[in-house]
Amino acid sequence: MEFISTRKKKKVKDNKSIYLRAYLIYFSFVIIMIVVVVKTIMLQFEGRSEVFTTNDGVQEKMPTRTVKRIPRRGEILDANYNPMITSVSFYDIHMDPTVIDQKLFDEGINELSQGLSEMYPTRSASEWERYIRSARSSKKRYLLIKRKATIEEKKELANLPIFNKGRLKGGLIDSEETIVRKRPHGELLKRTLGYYRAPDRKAGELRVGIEGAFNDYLAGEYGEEIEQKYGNGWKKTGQIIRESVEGANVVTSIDLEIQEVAHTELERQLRNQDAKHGSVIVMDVKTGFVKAIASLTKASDGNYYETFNHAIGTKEVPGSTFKLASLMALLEDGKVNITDEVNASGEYHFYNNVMTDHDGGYGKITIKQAFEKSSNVFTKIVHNAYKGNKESFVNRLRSFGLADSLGLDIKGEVKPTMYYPSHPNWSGISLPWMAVGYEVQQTPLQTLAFYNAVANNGKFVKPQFVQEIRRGQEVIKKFEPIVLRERICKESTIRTLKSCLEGVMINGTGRALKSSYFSIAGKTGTARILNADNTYGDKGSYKYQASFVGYFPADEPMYSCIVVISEPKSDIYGARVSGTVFSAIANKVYASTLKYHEAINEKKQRLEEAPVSKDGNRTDLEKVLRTFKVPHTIHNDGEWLSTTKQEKSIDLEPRYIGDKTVPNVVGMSAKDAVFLIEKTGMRAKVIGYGAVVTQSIPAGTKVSNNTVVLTLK
Amino acid sequence: MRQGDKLTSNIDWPILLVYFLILGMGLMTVYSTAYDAEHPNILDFSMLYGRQVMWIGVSLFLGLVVFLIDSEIYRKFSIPIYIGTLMLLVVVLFTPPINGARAWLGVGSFGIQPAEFAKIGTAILLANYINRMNIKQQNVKNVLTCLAIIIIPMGLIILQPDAGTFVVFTSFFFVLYREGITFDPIVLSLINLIPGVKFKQTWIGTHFIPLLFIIVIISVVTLLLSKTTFDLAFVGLYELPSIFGIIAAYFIIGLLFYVVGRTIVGNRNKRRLLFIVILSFSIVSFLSASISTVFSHLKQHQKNRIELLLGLNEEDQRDGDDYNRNRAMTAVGSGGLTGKGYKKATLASVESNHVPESETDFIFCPFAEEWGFVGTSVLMGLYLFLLLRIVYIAERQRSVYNRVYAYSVGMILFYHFAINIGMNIGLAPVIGIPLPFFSYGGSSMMSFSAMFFILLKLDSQRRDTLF
Repeated sequence: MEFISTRKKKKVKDNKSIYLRAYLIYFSFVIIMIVVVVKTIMLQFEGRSEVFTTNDGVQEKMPTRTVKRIPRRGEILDANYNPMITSVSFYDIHMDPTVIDQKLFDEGINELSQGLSEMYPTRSASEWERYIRSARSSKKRYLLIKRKATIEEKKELANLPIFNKGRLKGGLIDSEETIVRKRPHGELLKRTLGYYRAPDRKAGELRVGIEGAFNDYLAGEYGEEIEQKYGNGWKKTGQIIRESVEGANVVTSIDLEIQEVAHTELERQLRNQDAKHGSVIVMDVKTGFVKAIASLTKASDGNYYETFNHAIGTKEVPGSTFKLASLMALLEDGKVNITDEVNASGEYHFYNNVMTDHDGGYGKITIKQAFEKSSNVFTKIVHNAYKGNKESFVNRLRSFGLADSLGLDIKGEVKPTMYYPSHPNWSGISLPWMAVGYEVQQTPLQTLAFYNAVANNGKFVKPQFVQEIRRGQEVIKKFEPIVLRERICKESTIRTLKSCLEGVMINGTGRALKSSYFSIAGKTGTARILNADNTYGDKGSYKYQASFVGYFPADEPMYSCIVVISEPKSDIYGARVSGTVFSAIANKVYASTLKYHEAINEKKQRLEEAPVSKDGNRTDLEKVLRTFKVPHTIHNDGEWLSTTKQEKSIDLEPRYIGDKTVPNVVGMSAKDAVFLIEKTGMRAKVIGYGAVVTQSIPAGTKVSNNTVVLTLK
Repeated sequence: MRQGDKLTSNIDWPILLVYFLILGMGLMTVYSTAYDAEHPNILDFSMLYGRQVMWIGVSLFLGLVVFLIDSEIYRKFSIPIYIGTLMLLVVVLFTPPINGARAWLGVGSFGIQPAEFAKIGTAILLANYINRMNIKQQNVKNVLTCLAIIIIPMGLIILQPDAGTFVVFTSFFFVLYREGITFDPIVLSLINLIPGVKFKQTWIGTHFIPLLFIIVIISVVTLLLSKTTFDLAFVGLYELPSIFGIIAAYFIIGLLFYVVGRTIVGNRNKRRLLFIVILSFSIVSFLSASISTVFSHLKQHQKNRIELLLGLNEEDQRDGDDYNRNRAMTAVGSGGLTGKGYKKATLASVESNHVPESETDFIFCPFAEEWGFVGTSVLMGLYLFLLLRIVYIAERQRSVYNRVYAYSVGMILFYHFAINIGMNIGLAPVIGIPLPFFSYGGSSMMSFSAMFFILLKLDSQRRDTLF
């Protein structure tokens, strides 16, 4: 075959030209076919090619990668299994309006739009309809319906007309779920619940609070699955190498009700006092499980938020609440007797320093009274008792566990400060000052743990936040109470101290907080605290920390509690600032905790005597009697029954109700009586309330136009 | 051989066999794709495959009817048939739109698409007209008439709008080209208006149609590929702009063309061939490069519009731009050498909904996924045979009428095949057109079958034609 040849005859040339065209078409056919075939082959071998060479010349598997399957994170629950942090699934909902059959679309679009506008009123029904119609006509295949829909919304959407036909016919597309961590209770317990941040390129791992401490349980185990590369993205192949394991649930010891009370009461007082920050902890005396813990800090907007866990992370001079430790040491070492008299002159001089009582001294009082009134005469008592061997005082305090960390599960606890006399910071006044809670520093929780030990008869238990780890119904780990010190002091000392703490509430600084329903034992504390520059500042601008720590009920301690409020503005004294919070919490806890109250009907027989019953309609009567489990016997069946009270049950017998004669309605309620009378065509008039005792027209009389007057009693 | 003794004599059996093979493979794929475990019966008419069986039955019946009619009828009644299909195209414009297009005529789900049948009407009338006109003495009127026969239905179709069928209709221009009907009379009449100019023939006018198409194809391919990059790892080049890849591809095609051309042309023309190949390579490369450059300098909203036109930039951003193509390509690619096995398609199945329209326009995806390279090679081989056989049949016709009709059928099938598979493998813009005899759909099945059986009938009676 030759190309164009000009020398040939014209006719031949024309034919040649036609042939050329035919061949050209043939040729392009073939070329395009080859291109198509080659491209298909390329695609198919690319898609499968097992190995490819990377930039470094390393051979690697080309189109797949293994990715983590992220498990659902466990929940954090309160002691009663109410969720405090939970994982909520969200779905992005789209629709493909083009797949819907025309008939179905026409029939359902109105209702669908109506339903959508009810669920998401940002668009009216007609706007929804227009939105979907225009997407359908412009062949949009991925129309956004709702971002971040909850699983309930998702279910509700799937029930709407058209959507209920499913994905293929109804066009409802739901994306893979995204899991978001949610706190249903907002600010409540936020800091203690904490958070966990996995390490990334920018920062390391961050473990805060319970979320952080129990991350290993909560996180579950990652699974693995394979994604395949295509185009410009990765697509799940559905090939799962390892299934993920859902995270376990952490059951904390927190009681949401107590927590809520503690939080609100603390916040209210902080606002009242315009304080800088404050903490509340409520602890179970026997076990050390923390029932509530709140730490609120004033933010620049004037509100209080859980921004720092002061309860465990801020140590401060405890002030007078520490006198309990001093007294315990004195008693343990046999230095004093509680009935010894001391001279509380009001001013106690040590070298050039003076410690004063806040209201000028009490004269000669017993040590118990000194404790109750929170006199600083303790500086003198301790000084005199231990000045020969200062070290033994410190050692004694340390033997109570006051210088040790509690070893909490959650991060952020600071170690208490307590110096030995050999320490460079130790000075001549360190011993007396220590006696009244200066020159030592403790966190609120550490102070509370010590008081809790006293309430718990000397057994020092470790404060804990988590009771158990559960996976579904199965408890995979149970946290038992941990005893740090079996007995921190003699039993006699405990008894004495307890009476002193109760005395505080009866005769001393806590007198105003006395509760009439139950007894509280506790101690107030007002400490002057240092500024950031380690000075107290000028008089008048002194900063204080008001605290109240104790337990209740005093005779059989169940909960110990501490309230610490830092830098109150209008008042400084522990009793008035923190004590009121304490008693508010104690009152609420007491009132709402059933275990304090013997149930009214406890141990009594359910029904000693059968109740009096009105006569009446059978179904009504039966329902009531069955609901209240009243023993009863129906002797003969009938629509209307009269009741007879027997000793332990109620007998029910049918009552004849005719429509030609006036019925007997005595013993019935007004409702039934009036119904029956008026059913006959007569009128009824009701006087009084209760059950019918008399009827003006006797039963059996012929029905007339008269009015039946019913007297009820 | 004596002519027309029996109805079945002179039938081109190989092509009929291939037709049935493709039909069977198509039905098998529709069954696998739309398979529903609750309705496993292939004759369940509530399911797509059940309906497809019905459509195939109707089509075969239609084919039989067509075959029984004397081929003369088609020639004689070409004008009424053409006008009939035109009227259907007009009527359909007054129906309520379905999915944004007024393309369906009929009740409920049993509608037909007049555009599919307009292809037959146009092919018959075009064949008739060209048969009667004198190719040697073309004038403006002849050419315009030919154009009108094609353009009127095209205009009606784009009003629906149905871009896919519109594009398919341009295949008729190649038929014109093959028959030597050129734009030359029009070009000449325009050029010769210039005083002093007196051309007898212009190169542009003669080859206007292929030139136009080459430009369009190059533009589309360039635009489709211009968003990607490619690597030449073996020479250490990465992330090259795709324009280099396109030009490299042209170079390879040019080389191929030259090597093949050398064996065809005589010695004297070898130099000329080299010149032609180099020249066309330069022009084409320049064209691609400039399109690519111009496109990259367009404003974003202009780009978006073009991309939307090519089906590149969709609202659906699930997998980035280009959702349909990406998904289709993945599915095709996931088949590998031997495929995942029948009914084992995961990406292209209806349930996964990974590939849209996997039972109609993108049916090649599940097929390729299930049967892999082996399967697609067989299918493409069958189509290639079908197309080449039609060209062969066309060339053996004695009458111009038969030849034009055969070419029309061949070009239409070729268009459908190339664009549809191109769509599936990311080479062509997504303009929903079905794969002939393969995709689910009543109208396309019936019209292709009718078209095919008319061709078969014409071919079987080719010897009746007198010169």
